[in-house]
Amino acid sequence: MRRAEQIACLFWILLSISVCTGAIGLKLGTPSDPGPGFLPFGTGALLGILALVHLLKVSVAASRGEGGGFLWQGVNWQRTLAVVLAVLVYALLLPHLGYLIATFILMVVLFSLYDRKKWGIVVPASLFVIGITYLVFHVWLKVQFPPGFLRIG
Amino acid sequence: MELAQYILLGFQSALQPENLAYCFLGVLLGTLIGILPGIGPVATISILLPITFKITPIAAIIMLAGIYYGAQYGGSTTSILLNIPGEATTVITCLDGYQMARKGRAGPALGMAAMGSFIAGTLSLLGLTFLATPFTDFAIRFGAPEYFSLMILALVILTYLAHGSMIKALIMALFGLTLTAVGTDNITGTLRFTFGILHLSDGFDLVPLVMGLFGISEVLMNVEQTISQEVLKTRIKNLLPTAQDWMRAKGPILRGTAIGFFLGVLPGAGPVISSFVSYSVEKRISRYPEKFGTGMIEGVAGPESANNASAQGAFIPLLTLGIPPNVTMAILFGALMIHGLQPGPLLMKDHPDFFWGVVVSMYLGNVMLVFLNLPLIPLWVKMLRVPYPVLFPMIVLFCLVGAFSLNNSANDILVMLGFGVLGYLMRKLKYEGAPLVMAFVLGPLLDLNLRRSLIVSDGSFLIFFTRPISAVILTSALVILGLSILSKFRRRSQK
Repeated sequence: MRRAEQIACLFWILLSISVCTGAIGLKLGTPSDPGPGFLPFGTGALLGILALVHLLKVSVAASRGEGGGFLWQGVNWQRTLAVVLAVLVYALLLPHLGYLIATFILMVVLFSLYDRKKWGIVVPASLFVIGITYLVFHVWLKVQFPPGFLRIG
Repeated sequence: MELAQYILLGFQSALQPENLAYCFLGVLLGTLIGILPGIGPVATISILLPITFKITPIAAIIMLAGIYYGAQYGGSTTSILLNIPGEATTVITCLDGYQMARKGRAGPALGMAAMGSFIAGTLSLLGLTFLATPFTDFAIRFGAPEYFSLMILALVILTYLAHGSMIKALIMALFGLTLTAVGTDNITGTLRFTFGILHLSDGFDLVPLVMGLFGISEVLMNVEQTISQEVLKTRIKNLLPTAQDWMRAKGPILRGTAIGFFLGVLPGAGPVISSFVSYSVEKRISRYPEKFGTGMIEGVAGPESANNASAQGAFIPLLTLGIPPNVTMAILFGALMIHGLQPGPLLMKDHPDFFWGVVVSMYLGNVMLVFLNLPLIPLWVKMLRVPYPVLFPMIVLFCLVGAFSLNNSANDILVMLGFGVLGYLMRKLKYEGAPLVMAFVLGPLLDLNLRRSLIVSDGSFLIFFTRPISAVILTSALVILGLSILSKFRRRSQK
């Protein structure tokens, strides 16, 4: 946990440095004529200071042996990772496969995630959910879904 | 125009069949997601935000508002029957509500929660009706320095009241402000932090951001653990509380309403804190404080009234000052802006049919909620049996379609996923999403008002202290910040 906290603080500090550098490049201006980098520089600098203070706090606590433990202790992180990967692949394949096929594959994956359910349940459930969203978004709300290589949808 | 005329105008607008239907849909969805653990009003409003682009602004806001206050009603059902709060606002209801259910008094507990919510919601709306005009008249005197100070105060209170570390909440708020810098600068037209990516020239959209931070991250948190959904097997009978129940609950309902309303108006407080404050007040003034937690109806009536009054009261600063007091209101603020309406004092003056239509729809929504909650409780209990493995793919799909439909682009899905993973990691590390969203929504206005103030004052920061209203507001923010730091040091030295 403390290692993750320290990494998070380092992330904020790096972000702060890049925001401040970028803001200077954008022109800070003067208080009477503030430029586009004025507020980003201020928020970036404050972010860095606070992250540094927090990093010190976390490191002092760590030296006392406080805040141990693994961030993903006792949880099924594999399931979380599977959802993230499934959505990522879905976003990449959606324009090519089209809404109906890509969503069908995604729904089958997600419905089967907790336990291997019977195909007789997973397939109709996936088709049902896709049907509902298709009716609501495409037919009713006129959202244009990508038709994909099969030109359906 | 007189107040009565405004209210009449509101009825005219709210009673349009389309608006009435969206009001019903909103409160129905609100009740449903209030009941279902694992999805809250913030996530739902975020998910449904893109759908509202296809309907009229008034119907959209009526529906989204209905989801918000409807969820306060629905959340109590799971607290009472499952001992699992459907919403954070009904955590405290578990203590006495579940004990009442175990003693065979689930009916009166559910009934009192619904009736208390109705009374509090209606009284709070009366407050909104009568205070809207004075608030608007006051806010019309605000200039850039006052708005800047008010936004700083809202952000400071929100971070001060954060559940965990204040420093983390401040980091989140600053990160939110940093995110608003991405895109085209409002004043000079310069592109900021776009790194040559065309998609970023308009900045980050609010919709994928909130959908990711609240919708996707909630799913990612939930799928890594198993949610237990054991419904207490009790017969729900006699939903109407007895005369004795009413005698005991009338004080807590009225006190809960007052507490909820005032805390709802304050930036940062909101329904969660209101329900906790109401419970502690009831326990403190009770003649039998030791019996709290064993099934006291006061422990259900007070907090349930408080969270509803607070949810309705929160609309005052949003609609009259243009300052969202909590994260849900921040998303509604974003929704209003997307629909081309600027929340603030001019909203009531320029669009009275919209303003009063929304207010009146809340009266109607409260009436609908009583009918949805009391007779349909057995149906809601059945809904509780929908297992999460079946529910979450649908939540994910709604998020995906919602994000895609924004610009018909899969890039928005990737942005949403990015914020989803970020939100998930933030939750794991106990960083709150609320200050981030609030800062993200207020950021462009904060930037604009700060720069306008400095241009007017020729670069003097004293402008924030030489104008009386701004001085009072900004000093309050600094005092709150100072007190918080001081109390931290005091606690550390005591250790």
